[in-house]
Amino acid sequence: MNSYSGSANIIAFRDFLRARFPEAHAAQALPETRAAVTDGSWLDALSLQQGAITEVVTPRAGAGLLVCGLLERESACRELTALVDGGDSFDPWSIDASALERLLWVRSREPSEAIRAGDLLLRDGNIPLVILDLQTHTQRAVQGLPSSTWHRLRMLAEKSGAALCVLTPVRAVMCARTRVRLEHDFESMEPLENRAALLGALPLKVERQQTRVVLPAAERAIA
Amino acid sequence: MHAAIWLPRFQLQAVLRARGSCEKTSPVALLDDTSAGTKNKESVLHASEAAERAGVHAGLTASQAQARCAALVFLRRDAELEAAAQSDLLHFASMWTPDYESTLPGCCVLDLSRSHETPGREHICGVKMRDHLRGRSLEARVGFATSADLAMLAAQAAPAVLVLGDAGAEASFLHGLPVSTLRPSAEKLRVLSLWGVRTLGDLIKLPRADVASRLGREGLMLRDIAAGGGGRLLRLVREPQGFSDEMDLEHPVECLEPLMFILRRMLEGLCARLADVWLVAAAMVLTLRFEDESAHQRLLRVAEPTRDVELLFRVLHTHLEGLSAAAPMKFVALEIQPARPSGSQGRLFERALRDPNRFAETLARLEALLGAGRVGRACLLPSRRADAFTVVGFNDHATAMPVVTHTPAALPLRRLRPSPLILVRMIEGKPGSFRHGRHEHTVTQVEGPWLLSGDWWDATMRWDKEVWTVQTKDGALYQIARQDKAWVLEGMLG
Repeated sequence: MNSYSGSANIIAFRDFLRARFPEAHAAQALPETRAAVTDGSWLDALSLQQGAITEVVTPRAGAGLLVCGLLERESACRELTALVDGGDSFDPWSIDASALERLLWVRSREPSEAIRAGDLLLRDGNIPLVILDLQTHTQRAVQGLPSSTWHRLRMLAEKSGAALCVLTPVRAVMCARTRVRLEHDFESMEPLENRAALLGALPLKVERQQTRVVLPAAERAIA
Repeated sequence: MHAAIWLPRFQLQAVLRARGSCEKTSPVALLDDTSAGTKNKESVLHASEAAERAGVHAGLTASQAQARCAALVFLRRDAELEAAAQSDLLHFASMWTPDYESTLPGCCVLDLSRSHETPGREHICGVKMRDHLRGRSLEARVGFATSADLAMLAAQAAPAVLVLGDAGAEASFLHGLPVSTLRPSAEKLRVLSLWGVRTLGDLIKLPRADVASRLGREGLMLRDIAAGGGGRLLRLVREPQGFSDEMDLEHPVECLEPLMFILRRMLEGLCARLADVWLVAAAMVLTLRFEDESAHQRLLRVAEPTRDVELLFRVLHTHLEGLSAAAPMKFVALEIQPARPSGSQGRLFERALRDPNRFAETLARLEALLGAGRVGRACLLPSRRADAFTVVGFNDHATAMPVVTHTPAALPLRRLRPSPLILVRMIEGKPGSFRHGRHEHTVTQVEGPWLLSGDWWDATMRWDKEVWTVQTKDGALYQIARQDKAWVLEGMLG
């Protein structure tokens, strides 16, 4: 009896919060997210989803290769991509001209600047994929970002329907829908000719993969 | 009723009035430069009355004209003087009626149907017009008729002022005019001459359909004018409408809120004026002047032209948020560059932006956050120098940049900007290890050197360097370079 009344109180409290802050709960009304268009196994492993955050943890090499792969990805309709270059390390000569044409390059120096830029782009909602590259920053600087920042970005992504891909040197985005770990070292300097082969050989290890289940209201109440 | 004012020998009059009255009575000929390219000889465009009396007429070459009149003075056309004379003529026309047409150089037609002074006093008005223009050193002929084309013919045929009041007078006037009065093309004039058509009376005797089938559109137009002209609409001269507003501030403004209040009021007025003429704002020019005599002017483009006050207001607000000034503001001006609203369809295989105006606002916010040149589209420059690129505005499609074709390397370089200095220990002519900060990296594999250079033709800009790719013990790949005897770490590969 007590547990039932406790559940009822929680449900009532949740309903109250939902009525009081509809903006904060709007995301729950979203339909099931769908996977973005992909063209390769490495991209499938990343599992970029609209309205969700994908975190790629790359302590060592491979982040630049992934960024270039994402920028040069082939989609059904030539989508724009925003690259928030947290360490101002992107080299425009490293991608082809057509990818460069549909790239919005945002060059920042500090992680806080990059986060604010990402915030603005997600609020805007015009660009379907935002890449937030913080990999060149130290682990301490990235872990020093408050977790509320990532929750805010997650909610903005859910609201706008944009996919956010965050590259970090260490696990930092606790609310990421998907987390992939990339620990890659080049064994030799010989086979550096083909980018597609290099991307395909990246050892991507999926650490976390959440699938969203939207329960009907009645089931949610019972739960 | 229409009035036509015609300035005979317009190009000559335009030049003579600037040179004073001393040459008006002497034999003068105006040479036409535009015919020099075709005949390789300048020909006479107009001759003064004194020159005509000596046998000089339009079409003669300069040497032929000189042979006929030894005292002949040659002048050349001057486009600026002609424009000034035409401007004076139109200004004079605007004093009679707001509805007037700049028909030809040296000729304008006035629609006097709304004038209360003219009916019944056309001749007096014509004399007044002539006298006024004579005061400006322009000799004019004035013709009045019920249609614009007929008024023009009357002006050309008039000794000074000619009024064609009723249909009978118009018909008898027209029938006696030579065909050349209609200024047909040389080909059509030759055909009409072969047919024995000398006057407009001869021309209107020809069946209209036959004239159309034999002489085409031009012939039909000539016949219609000869028959009294249609009631064609004048191409009225209208001053370009300006969409600008400005305000001298009685009390200097120091913060954003009062300025935004003023700008909102300006925007509301300007957008209402835009709505009246079915236009939208494509860009805004904001001008601010401060008490220390400094000024700020900025062109703010609207990504998708609109006359939505709220949207334009947000564009201004976003720009002004990032602006700081050393002194209070004393003047504000806002000008809107109008455009026609046009529908557009995006490319089939490209996803269009959901809200281009919002996107433009976001770009402005990003630029305010990060600084100019740090947000936009990267354009490669034709050079092998490091970081040979420039960042242009994402919506700035007008920027013409050279197209640089390149094949990117398989492994991208993650650059360090600026490239830090490193200490390199060479072993057998190759990098054996390098020190970056506190970290010592032992090199296990090395490739290179690649010798790069550029701008060798410019002593101040020339550069050369040797680039090495090295792999360290921990498996990482680095790109290092030696330039000006110093080693730098350019970045990490992958």
